[in-house]
Amino acid sequence: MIEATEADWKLLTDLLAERFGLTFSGPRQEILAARLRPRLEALHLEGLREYYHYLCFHPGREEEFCELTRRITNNETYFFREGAQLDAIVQHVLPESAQLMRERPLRILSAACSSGEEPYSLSVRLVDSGSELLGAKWEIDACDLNPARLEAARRAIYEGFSFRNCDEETRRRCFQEVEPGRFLLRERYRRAVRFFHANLAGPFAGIGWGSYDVILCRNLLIYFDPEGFDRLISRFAQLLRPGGYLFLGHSESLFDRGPGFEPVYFSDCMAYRRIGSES
Amino acid sequence: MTPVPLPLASRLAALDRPEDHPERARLILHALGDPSPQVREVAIAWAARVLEPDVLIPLVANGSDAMLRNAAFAALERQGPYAMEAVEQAVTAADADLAMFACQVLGSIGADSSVAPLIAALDRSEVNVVQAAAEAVGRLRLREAVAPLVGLLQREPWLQLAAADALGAIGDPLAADALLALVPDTMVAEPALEALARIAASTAVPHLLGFLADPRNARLRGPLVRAAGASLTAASEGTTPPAHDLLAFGRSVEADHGEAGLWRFLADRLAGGDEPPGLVSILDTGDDRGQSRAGGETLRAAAILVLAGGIATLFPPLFKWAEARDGRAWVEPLARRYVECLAPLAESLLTHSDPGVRAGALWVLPPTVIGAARFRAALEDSAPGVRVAACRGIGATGDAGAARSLAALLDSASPEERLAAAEALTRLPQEAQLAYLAPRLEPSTDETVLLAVLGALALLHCPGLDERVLHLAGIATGQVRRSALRAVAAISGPRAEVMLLRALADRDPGLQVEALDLLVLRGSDRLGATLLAMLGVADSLRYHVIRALGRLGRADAVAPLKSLFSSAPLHERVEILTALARLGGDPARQFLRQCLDQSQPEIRRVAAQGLAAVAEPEDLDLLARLARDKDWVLRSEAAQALGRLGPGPARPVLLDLVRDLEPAVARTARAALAER
Repeated sequence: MIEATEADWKLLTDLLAERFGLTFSGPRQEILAARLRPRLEALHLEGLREYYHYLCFHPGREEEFCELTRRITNNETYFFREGAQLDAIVQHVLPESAQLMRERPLRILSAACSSGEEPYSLSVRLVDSGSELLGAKWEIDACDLNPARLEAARRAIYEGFSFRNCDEETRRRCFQEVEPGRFLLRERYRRAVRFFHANLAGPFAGIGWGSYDVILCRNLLIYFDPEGFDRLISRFAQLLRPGGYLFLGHSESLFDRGPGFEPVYFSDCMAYRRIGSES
Repeated sequence: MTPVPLPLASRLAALDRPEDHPERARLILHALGDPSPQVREVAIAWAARVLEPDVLIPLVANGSDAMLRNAAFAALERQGPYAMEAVEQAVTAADADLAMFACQVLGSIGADSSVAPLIAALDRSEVNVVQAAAEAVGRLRLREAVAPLVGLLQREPWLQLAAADALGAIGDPLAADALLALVPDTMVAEPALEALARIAASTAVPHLLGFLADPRNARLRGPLVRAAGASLTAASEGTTPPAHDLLAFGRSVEADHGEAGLWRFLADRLAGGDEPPGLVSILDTGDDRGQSRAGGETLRAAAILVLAGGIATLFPPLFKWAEARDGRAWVEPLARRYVECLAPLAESLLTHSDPGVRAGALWVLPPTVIGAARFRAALEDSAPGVRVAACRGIGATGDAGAARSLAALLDSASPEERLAAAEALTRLPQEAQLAYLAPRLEPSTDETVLLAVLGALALLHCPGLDERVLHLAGIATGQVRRSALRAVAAISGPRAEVMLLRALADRDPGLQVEALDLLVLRGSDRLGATLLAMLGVADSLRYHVIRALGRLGRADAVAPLKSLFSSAPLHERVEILTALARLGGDPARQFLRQCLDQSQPEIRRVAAQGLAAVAEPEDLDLLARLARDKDWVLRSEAAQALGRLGPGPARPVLLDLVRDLEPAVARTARAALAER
C-alpha cells in the first residue's frame, strides 16, 4: 500500500474529481493506489503527496495527466456487450425514427467508448440489419477521455479478450485476420463511426445541443460522485433531442435522479427517454 | 394549510451562517430532520461542530423521528472523543432507549474509559441495552468484559449472538471453553465457531477436530475448518495437540473419500471451490470479517489441517498452490513447519504428473529434502515453471555441477527462465561464475542474455565480475547501459561511484535520474558535495537533486537549499520545503515557520506539512493558530503535528479539530487523539 495520510488522499482524489469528474472513495481508493504505484515508481516519487505535488506543479504535469488518464480509466470492454440494448436500437429505435431519417441520419453518441468495441458493435448490428436498403441512415460519434484508447479504436484491430462475447461466425464475417490472432474490422462497419477526444466531466466542445437521437453511456456513471453523476445526466439531457434515448449500463439507474427522463421498457432491456416536445 | 418547503438551495444556504448567529442552533436542529440527505449531511457536519453533546444525546432516543435520530447519532459519532464523557453518562440513563443508543454511539467513539459504564450496562435487565453494550465492548475490544460476556452466553439467543461476536473480537482464549460448549447448539454454533476462529486458542483444537470428524456436524464444516485451522496456526511448539491425535484425525479423513465426507470437503476447498454461505456470512455484521471469511481463509485452514493430519492424498492439490508467488507466501511456512511429515512423500510430489505440483514442491520443500540430483533433473523438465523453480533451488544450494545446464537455459529459454538461470549462476562458487557468466558479459553477447545477467548482478554482487560490469557500463548504450549501471551500484569502491556520478551528466534524463537514485540508495561519500554543486545548475535534474539532498539527510544542505528557494520555480520550491522537512533541525524548522507567512496557498500547505514532521513543543502556539486556519490542509497538518507532539496542552485544540467540518481533518485529529 502507498504511504498516505487522510489529507494526501483527499488532495489527490479532489484533484482527480475536478479534472476528470471521477471519484475514488472506499474500496476504489485501493484500486487507485494499485494503479498509481507504477507511476510513483517511474517518477521516482515516494508517496501520494509527492505525486500530488508533481501533478500540480511539475513542468511535466500535463504529460503525467495523460499517462494518469490511461491508468485510471476503466478500459474493460468487448464486442456485443449487453447486446439486448443494441438489439433494442435496431428493432425499436430505428423503425420509429423512419420519418426522421428521411431528412437526416440518425445520430448516435457512444460516450466513453474506450477502444471502440461498443460503437463498432452497434455499427455491425445496424449494417447487418439490412435497414440501409429501406432508407435508414445513421452516424455514430464515439468519444473517450483516453487518447491511447481512441487511437486503438481508430486502428480497429482487435484480439482475444475483445471477442469473448462474439461467435466465430460473426468474427469471420465482420473481421479480417491481419496477423495471427489479430483481426481488423471490415471497412463497411467502420465508415459510419467517428472518434473524438472528450472529457465528459469537463467543458464539452464540438457537440451541438440537442444533436443526438441516441446516447449510449454504459458502465461509466458508477465512477462518478453524486454531483458528477447529476452533471453528466444534465449534459446528456442537453445533448439528446426530446424523445431521444439514453442507454445506461445494467447496474446504473436514473431512478430518482434524472427528472428530464422517463424509463422505457423493451423486451430484454430498458432505456431512458428524454422528456419534452420537439420545437 | 401545509407550509410549502423551501427549495433545497435555500435550505442549504440557511445553514451557511456565521457560527455566532442566534438562530444557528435552531436551524441546524431543524435541518437534522430534513427530508433531503444532502441537507442532513451538511447539518450533521455543522451539528458536530457547534452543538454540544448534551443537546444531541436526547435526540438519539427520539422514537418518533428516525431520520432525526440517525442524524443526531451521526453527529455524535463525528464529535467522537469530544462527546465521549457525555455519552458515557447517557449509558447509565434510566430511559432504556437512551441507554441503548448511547451504548451504540460509545461502540464507535469509546475508549478504555468506557469500560465501567458499558460493563454496568451488561448487567441491566433490558435486553436491548445489554445487547447494545455487548456489541460496544466487542467493537472496543475491552478485555475486562470477557467474564460478563461469557455469562451472556447462557442467556437469550440474541444476547448469545452478540456475546459470541464480541468475544471473538476481543480474542481472549479464556472464552474458548464457553464458546465450544455452544457448538452442538444449532442456533449459535456458527457464530461461536467464527468467534473461536478469531480467538485461535490452541486448547480448542482437540474439541474442534472431534466436531469435524462427526458427520452430524457436516453443515458446520466451513466454520469448523476455519476455527481449527486458525487455532493450529496460532499454536506454538509446546501447545500443539499431540501428533497422534492429529494423525488419528487424518486417518479418519482418509478413510472416507465419499461425496459427503470431510475428505471431499477439504479437497474441494484445496481445489479453490467456494463454500456454500452459512448463517453468519449472510448476516451483515458491518465490519471487515466478511472479507476474511472469504475462500482464502478456509483454503489456508484446510491446508494446515491436511498437513497436520498427514492427509497425503491431498498434498498434491495443496502444493499446486505454491507454483504461484502468492500461494508460495503461505504454503512455504506450512511446508517448513510440517517438513517431517512431508519428507517421506517428497519424491512422489516432485515426480507428480501435474507440473504445477512439481513446481510447487520445488519451490517450498527445503533443498535438503529435495537433493541436488532432483534439482538437476528438474532443469530438464518439459514445463518451464518447473525449470524456473529448479533454478531457484540450485541457486540456494550453490550446486556448481548444474552450472552448464543453467548456462544452456540462460542462452536459449524464455525471459523468465533466463533471469532465473542468471540469478542461480550468481549464487554458485566464483569459478562457476567466471566460467559461465563472464563470457556472457561481453559487449557482443545477445542483448536478452546480457540483460538477464546484469539484472541478476544488480541483485547480487559477484566481485569476480566487477571489471567486466564496469567496462560494460562505460561503453554500452540504451537499456544495457541502464542495467549495467544498476549492477555497478552493487559494486563498492570509488570506481563504481565515479561511474555513477558520471551518469548524472548522461544525455538521457531518465538515466540521470536513475543514476541519482542509485547513488542515494548506495550511500555514496562524494555524492553530497557533488549534489550541492549541482544546485547551481538550473536544469531538469535539479528537481531530483533537491529531493536527493533531502533523502541523503545532509545537514549542510539546509543553507544552500534556503538560499535557492526565492529564485527557484514553484515545483522546485515545493521540493525544497519537502527536503528541509526531511533534513530537520532548527534552521530548517525556522524556515518552514517563516514560509507559513507566504501568500501562496500551496507554499503554505507544503510548509505546514513540513512543520508537522519537525515541529517542537515550542511550536504549539503556532500549531494552535494553524488549527484555526481557513485552509483545511493547514488544519489537517496541525492535527498531524499535535498528534506527533502529544503533550497535554494540545488536547483542547485536537478536541476542537475532531469536530471540524472537513471530515479529513476530523479523522486526522481523532487519530491523533487516539495515539496519545
